[in-house]
Amino acid sequence: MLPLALICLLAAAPATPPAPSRWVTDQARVLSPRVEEALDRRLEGYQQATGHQVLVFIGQTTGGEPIELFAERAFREWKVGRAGLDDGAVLFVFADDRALRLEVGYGLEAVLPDALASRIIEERITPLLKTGDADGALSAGVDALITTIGGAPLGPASVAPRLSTPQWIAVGAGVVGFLLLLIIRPDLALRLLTLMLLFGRGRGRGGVSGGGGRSGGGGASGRW
Amino acid sequence: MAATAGVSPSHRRNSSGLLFALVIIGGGALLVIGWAVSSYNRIVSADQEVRARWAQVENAYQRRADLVPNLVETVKGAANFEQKTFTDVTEARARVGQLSAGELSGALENPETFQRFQQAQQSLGTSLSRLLAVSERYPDLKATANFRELQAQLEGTENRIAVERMRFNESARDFNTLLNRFPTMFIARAFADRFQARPYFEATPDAQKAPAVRF
Repeated sequence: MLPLALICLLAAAPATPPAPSRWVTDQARVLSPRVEEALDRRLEGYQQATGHQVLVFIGQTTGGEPIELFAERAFREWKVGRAGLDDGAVLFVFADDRALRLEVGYGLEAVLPDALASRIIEERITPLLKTGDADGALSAGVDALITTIGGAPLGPASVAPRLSTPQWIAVGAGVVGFLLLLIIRPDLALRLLTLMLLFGRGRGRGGVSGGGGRSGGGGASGRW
Repeated sequence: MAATAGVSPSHRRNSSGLLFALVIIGGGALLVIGWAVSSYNRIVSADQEVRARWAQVENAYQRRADLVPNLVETVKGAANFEQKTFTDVTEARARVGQLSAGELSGALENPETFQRFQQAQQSLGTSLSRLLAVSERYPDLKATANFRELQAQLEGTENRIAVERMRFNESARDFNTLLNRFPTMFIARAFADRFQARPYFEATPDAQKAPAVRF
C-alpha cells in the first residue's frame, strides 16, 4: 500500500531537491568556495536585517522539465519567505541547461515586478554568465536583488515565544510521564525518544525554511 | 399473585430491550447525521477552493488583457509594423472582453461558457505570441526599453496564467474526486443542483512549442 502511494506520488511530480539549509546552494560547483560563502553570509545578514528571504540555488539540470514549473514547485515546497508574507525570492540557475529563473513570492511582487526581474537577469546576470564568470554573475545578481528589494530594517528582535501556564503544565506532565515510562518500560521509552527525534528532524528540515512559499509564478526567466 | 410476579420481570426485560434498541437506533442516526454534515461541509470547502482558484485564473488572464492596449500602442509606433498582427491581437482582446462578469462567475456551472472563455483566451494567447515572434524582425522596436519591459511583463503573465490554470485543475480534480467517491457521492447526489463536476483547462497543444510565423 505504502510503496504504491509512493510510486503515485513520484509519478505525479518529478522530485524536488530537499529544502536548502543555506542561503546559497551550489550543486553544480560553478561558484568558487570563497564567493559562495560570501554570498551566503550576505544573504543571511540581509534576511536578519530585513526579514526578506533571498535564496540562490544552482543545479545541473531540471531533467527536461520547464524551469518555470520546477521553480514554482520548489518555491512552494521549500516554503520560501515568511508565513503569511511570502516575501521571498529564489534565483534558480541550471548550469547544464544554461537556464535561469528568478521566482518571486507574492509579497515581493510590488517591489520586484516581472519587468524588473527580467532586467536584472538580462542586464546584470546573463552577460557575465556568457563570459563564463559565474562568480561575477551571481554576485552582481545578488547585489541587484538586494538593492532592488531593499527593505526597512526590522524592529527589535522578536523575543523567543514564552510558554503560558497551561503549556508549562502540559510540558511538565509530559516530562513526568516520560520519566515514569523510563522506570516502568525503559525499552518503550527509548523507542519513543528515537521516534520523537526522527519526527523533530523531519519537521525542522532546512535551516532557512520560512513558512511562506506562495508565489503566483511571478518573476522572469532567461537563458545564456 | 404468581402471575403478577411472572409478568413483572419479563416486562422489565422488554422495556430494557426497547431502550437498548432505541439507544442503538438513536446512536446510529446521530452517526449518520454527523457523517452527512461533515461530508457536506467537506464538499463545500472543496467547492470554495475551486471558486477561489477560478478567481485567480480570471485575475491572471485579466492581467494579460490589460497589457494589450499598451503593447499595441508601442508596436504601432514602430515603422511599418505588420498591420495584421496587431489587428488580430486587438480583435482577440475584444472577444475576450465580450464575456461579461456575470457569465464568468457562472462559468464553473456552465461548461459551454467555460469552453468559450478558454477558446477566447487561447486565441488571444496565440495572436500575442505571433506578435512577439513578428517583432523579432524589428530590431529598432526590440531595442526600446518600453517594448522590452512589456515583453517581460507579458512573459511573466503567461507564466502566471500557466501556474493558476494548473492550480485550478488540481482543485477541480480534488472536488470532482470528492463528488464521485464512495460514500460522499450520496451527499453530492442529494445536492446535485449545487455540486456539479467542475470543468478542467485542457493543455493547449500549441502552448508548448514556439508559434509558427507565416510570412
